[in-house]
Parts: sequence; structure tokens; C-alpha cells
Amino acid sequence: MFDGSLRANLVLSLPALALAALLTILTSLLSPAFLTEANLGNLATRLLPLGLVALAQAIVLFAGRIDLSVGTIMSLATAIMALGSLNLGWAAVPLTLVAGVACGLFTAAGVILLRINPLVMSLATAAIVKGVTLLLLPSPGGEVDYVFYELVFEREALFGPPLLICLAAYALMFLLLGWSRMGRAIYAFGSDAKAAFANGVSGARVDLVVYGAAGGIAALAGLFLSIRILSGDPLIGEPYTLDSVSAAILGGVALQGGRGSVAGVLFAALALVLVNNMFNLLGLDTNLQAIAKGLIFVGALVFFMRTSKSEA
Amino acid sequence: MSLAPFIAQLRPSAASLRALGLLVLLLALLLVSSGAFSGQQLLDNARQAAPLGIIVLAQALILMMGRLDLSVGATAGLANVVLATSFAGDMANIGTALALTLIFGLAVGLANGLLVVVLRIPAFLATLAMSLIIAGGLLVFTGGSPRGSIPASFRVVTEGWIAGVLPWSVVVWALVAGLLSVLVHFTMTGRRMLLSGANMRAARLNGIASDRMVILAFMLSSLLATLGGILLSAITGMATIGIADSYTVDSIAAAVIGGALFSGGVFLPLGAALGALILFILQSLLYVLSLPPAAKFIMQGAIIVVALALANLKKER
Repeated sequence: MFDGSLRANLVLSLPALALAALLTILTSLLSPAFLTEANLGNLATRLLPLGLVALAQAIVLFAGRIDLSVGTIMSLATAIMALGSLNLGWAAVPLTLVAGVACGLFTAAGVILLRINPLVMSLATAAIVKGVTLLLLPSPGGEVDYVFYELVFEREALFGPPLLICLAAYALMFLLLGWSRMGRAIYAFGSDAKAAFANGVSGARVDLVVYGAAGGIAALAGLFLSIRILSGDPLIGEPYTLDSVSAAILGGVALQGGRGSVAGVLFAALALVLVNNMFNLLGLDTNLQAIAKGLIFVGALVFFMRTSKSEA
Repeated sequence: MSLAPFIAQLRPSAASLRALGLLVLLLALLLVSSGAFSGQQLLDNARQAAPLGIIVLAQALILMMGRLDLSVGATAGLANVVLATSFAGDMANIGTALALTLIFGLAVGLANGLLVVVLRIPAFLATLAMSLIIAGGLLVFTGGSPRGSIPASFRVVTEGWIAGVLPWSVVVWALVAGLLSVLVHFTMTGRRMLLSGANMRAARLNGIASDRMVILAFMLSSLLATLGGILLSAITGMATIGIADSYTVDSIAAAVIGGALFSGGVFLPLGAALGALILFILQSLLYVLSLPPAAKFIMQGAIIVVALALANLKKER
């Protein structure tokens, strides 16, 4: 079962696994508070939105594209939840997800119909989504029904709903990307768009699927974020854009497309959450985190670009 | 040696003329709607648009290299904080303040260039990471509340008018645009940069040290962004964290209005200047119509989509 490209792609995820393991050991040695039930629950709570948005970015990267609008889509999702969850109840959930998918499809439409560079088109989408979010919710506020919180985050434990939801999303995507026709088409398109086209893969359909899925999953990430903070925030998602690319690259996903596995992305997202947790537990300046994140990102890019060059 | 080819270089491109047409149309609309739009008002708009205008030139230069600089906003913000802190409200510090600010700007550009050339990181990601590092660094350094201020005698740069007719900042802007034009079109270094942007491989095969040209372009870009940040500081007179963040996407939007292409090899300083002016007037129009600030972001995105879609349509025809 684990042969060929699948094995090669899983190997790419090993550095992220090693980093996550190293950080776990390091933090538990440095801080006695690390291995407490409350902190592990906190880790899982933080992993959920970052893990989901990293998954969204990874799907786009597999196709050799990039989506710089995932962070703003998360913000939009928190705004919709904060404004809609009390009067719409459960209907707010599908509404949020549909809005996210629509944002992704907008990017795809620009790429397919108007032939705009995908990177720039996603930047344009990000600006528009940010504007719409600020129209809906000019400043942090609103309220998310506590019912949702009880359901997802009430029980602070490592193996609670947040971790299970995250793992389920990754498992589903692992199967879909590895064994479905569309999943293989995404990898094929990312490795070599021309060869994929010659073999009957529609580039337009790949774009629609990856950007639509990324928008939907980013909205899901924002949905859980709004449940955690019990409100909406029009700017809360922005740092997640770079984090999502960072986690994907660190997880062994190639920017050129066609390489990497969602397993690595999960480990990388975990590693980023662990870095954040370490800063908090050791009482370091939270602003240093932004610098650390930037350096990790550059380091990951350098590490993986080097390896891919030596293989070529 | 004939001068004709050089003069031909100076002829405005079709894209710049289209931007000019758009600006005239916009001004005519303003004239019709408010009934009182004077040359004086246009110059006053240009005075306030100068920081954006210079940052757009930075972005246009990187677009010419076929790349994207997502750190121009953060770099301008860095200049704002460094300048205000080192000035500390005293005109006597002008030498150190300007020198320090420019050195920081050059350092950012050099770092961007090395990340792109030596470490082979795609430019948009390298500069995105750089903007994150700068934002974090500013927060650590200032603790979230930057000190210092710009002395009134320095603020003349953007607040003063020469003989009451021409704003100083417009002169600075025009001078920078002119110098860049000369650099790109009339010097060997500039031609090498343009050719590297148009086709890196061909440039390299012809013996151009393209990597060095890319580093130079990023240093120039950060230097221009710093200059924009200095002018912006002269307008606001104080240091504010994140004051220039929206300039990053603004600069892309204005550059594409002015005919810049993402494929590289095109540098249209006149188009970039007109694009900045158009964007600034549109933004003040949104303000006058008392639309919420959110409208600004929607417009940014819409402009990028429409301008690029039109450029692509024309290419296919």
C-alpha cells in the first residue's frame, strides 16, 4: 500500500515529525507545566484552527498553486458566526462554509476565466474578502452561541473533540488525495500541468476543486476559531495566511506542486503550535514569536529547497 | 551617436496614456459632481499621494524584475518608527535620523535580495516573511507604543509649498521618478536590470550578472519604500505601528493601473505615478462619500482584478 510516490511523499514529512518530537521533548524538559492535562488540552485547541488552515493551503500547493486569502476567509467565517449563530442557530454553520467555498471559487474564476496569475488573484480576493468582513463586522464583537463551545471545547483534554476533528479532517484528505480520481489529478497537475492535460486532467476543474476546498476548509478553521473566542474578529485570521504556508512547506510540501503529504503538514502544524506553547510557558515576549515564526519559515524554505535541488 | 533611440525611450507607453486618460476622466467626474475642482486641489492631492507614489515606484521596479515585493508596506512602517525615534522631535538630529533610517531600509533590501538570490526563496514568500519579521521586531523594540516625533521644521518636506505654488513632496516624487527613468533606460546597469527581469536566462547567457541585478533591485526597492515612509512620517509627524501596512497591496493595485505586468521586463514610471494618483483620488472619494473604510479594501481587490483582466484580454486579441 505504501509504495511509489506515496512513500516518497511520506518520507518528505519525516523532518516535520522529528521537529515536533524534538520540540515536545525540549518543552517538557524546560517546563514542568507542559505535560499537564490542561496544557495538552490547550495544545489541541490551538492545533485545530492552524491545522485546518494549513490543510487548506496544502491542498492548493499540491496543485502547484498558492492561496494568500485563507487568513481573511477565516476572519470572514468568524464574522458570519458572530453575527449569525444566535438567530440562525445551526444554519450559521453551512452558511459560513458556503461563504468560504464561494471565496475560493472567486479566486478560481479569476485564474480560469480572466487568466490572472493565481498568486496575485488570491491577493485580490484577500483584499475583497477583508473589505466584506469589515463591512459585516467593523470591530471585534458579536457573539457565538455557547452551545457550540460546550460541544467542542468544554472538556479540556488532549483526546477531546478538537484533536479528533483535526485528525478526522486530515485522515479524510489523506484518503481523498491519495486514492480518489480527483486527488490523483491534483498531484498530477501539480507535478506537470502539460503532461496531466495530455492525460485528460482538466486544469480548470483542478483549480475549482483546490480553491473551493481550500476556501471551505479555511472557513471551517475560522468557524472553530470563532467558537473558541465566542465572538468574531475582522482581522484575527491574517497571521494564519503565512502560518499556513509555513506549516505546509515545513511539512515537506513543494511550492512547485505535486510533492508532499498531508501527514507532514499535520506534524508541521503541531510543531508551530509547540513553538507558540513554548514561548508562552517560558514567559518569553510574545512579540518575539513573530520573529521566530518568520525565521522558522525561512529555515524551512531553505531546508526543503536544498533537498529538492540535490535530487534534481 | 544619435539621440533618437533615447528620445524614443522617453515616449509614454500606451498603458501610461490609458492611465492618463483614466485620471482625466476621474477629474472630469469630480469637476462635474462637486463643481469646484481646481489645479490647486490636484496638486494638493499629489502632495498627499507622494508617499504612496514613491512606494509604487518601488513595487514597479520589482515587478520589472518579474517578482513581487510584499514587504514595501512594512519597510515604510519601519522607516516611520526609526525616523521618529532617532529624531526625537529635535531638528538637530536630522543627520543621524536620516542616515539611520536609510541604513535600516538598505539592510532590509539586502536581506530580501540575499534570501531570493542566495537561498533561492521565491521573492513573494521571502518578502512576506520579511514583513512579518519587521512587524515583530518593531513590536519588540517599541513595546507596542513607539516614542519620538518628527520636528516641525522637517515636516516642511510634505507640508510646505515652494513659493506657494508647488508642494515640496511633489518635487521629490517627480525627481525620484525621473532618476529611476534615467537609471532604467539610460544606464548600463539599468538596462541589465530590465533585461534580467524580462528574461533571466537569456540575460545570464549574455554575460549579465543577473543575480547581482536582483539584489540591487531589492535594495533600491527597500530604499524607495523607506523614502516613502520618511515622507509619510513628515505628513503624520509621529510614529505609529503598522501605519503603512496597506501600502503593500495599494502599491500593487496602483502599479497594475499604470500598466505594470507580472511577467516582468516592463518599467513605466509615468504609469506608476498616474496609478498612484488615481488610487489616491479614488480613496479620498470613498472618504468624501463617507463610505466605511472597508470599501477601500474591496476597491483594492477589484482594481487588481479588473486591471489585470483588461491587460490579459488585450494580449489575447
